[in-house]
Amino acid sequence: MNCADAVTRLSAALDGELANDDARDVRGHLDTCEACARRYRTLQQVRSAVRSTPFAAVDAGGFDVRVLERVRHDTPSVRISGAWIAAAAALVIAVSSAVLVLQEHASVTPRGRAPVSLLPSDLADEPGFTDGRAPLGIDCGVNGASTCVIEQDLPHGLMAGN
Amino acid sequence: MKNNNAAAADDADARLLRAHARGDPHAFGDLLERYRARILHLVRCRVGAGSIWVEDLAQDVFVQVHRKAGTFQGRSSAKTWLYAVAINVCRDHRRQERRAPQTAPAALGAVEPLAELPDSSLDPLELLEQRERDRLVRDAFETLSAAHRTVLYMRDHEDMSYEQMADALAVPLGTIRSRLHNARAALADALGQRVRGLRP
Repeated sequence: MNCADAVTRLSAALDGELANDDARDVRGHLDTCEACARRYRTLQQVRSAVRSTPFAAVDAGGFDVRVLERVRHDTPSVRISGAWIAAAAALVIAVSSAVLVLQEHASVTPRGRAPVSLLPSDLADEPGFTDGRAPLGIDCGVNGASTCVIEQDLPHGLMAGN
Repeated sequence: MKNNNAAAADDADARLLRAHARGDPHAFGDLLERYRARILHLVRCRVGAGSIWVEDLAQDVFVQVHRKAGTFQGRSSAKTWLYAVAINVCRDHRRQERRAPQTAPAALGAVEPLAELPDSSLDPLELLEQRERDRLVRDAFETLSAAHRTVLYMRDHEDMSYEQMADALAVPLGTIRSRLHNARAALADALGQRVRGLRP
């Protein structure tokens, strides 16, 4: 190991942060190089100086009071707002579901349910009556020579024109 | 033994963070007690001991800890996580300062810049020498860059490993190694200049 390689590793060697091989090579270099050994001792002194020098004291009471005051005021806006967001989201979902259910029940041909055709069998192949299902919005008036599709479980009284 | 103590302290810190996230009313006060001085020192390293923002930023750190305690997952030690929060608060402050200098906070509650704890076992002459030496080191320390002060504080005061420092500062391990070496070299140089200045 030459001086350039050793110098970049001296601090890490001092801190015990080198891999075993590296640490052994640095130690070997320090045994033979007085200049790097002196650099190493300087780093030791600097580390010792930082470690033994007290940092400024802290005004604990005043600081704590001010932090706790800020945190106390911060609590509602952070934690409760999270709860409110969750509650609002639940409300939106509930209302949306209710609206969908109402729309479904109000619809003449709700999706996903088996319709019963009241269509005479000879008209079953007419346009708009394929598969026995009436398109949405069809006029179910009794005078329209038409037909309509209702749900099996829907009371007939709810049918338009009935 | 030292490692065991550090591990036990980390466990205790992690428990406090989780307890606070669960709503334990006492946990935050305990965290404040354990980290108040350390966070203040770290913030000083970032913005300079003479900055008027030190206390406000340290307060911001604890407010962030209060808000984000629930996001601590234990992937790093609690201490590393707390210091990363502090580093981020200081980085945000620096970005804001670059964009638009902020109004100085009220002077109320400013931290004593250089209070010292006298060692009662020393005689007056020794005490004087110690104070003079401490002053020299602190003055030299303050001439370093924020990046150099930070790694020196983390390593030599807080005994953090290179890996913990890399996590807290979000930089590669190699950067920590070279930055710490350069920081010590810069401090040695600054101390040397002051010592030479003292010679008759």
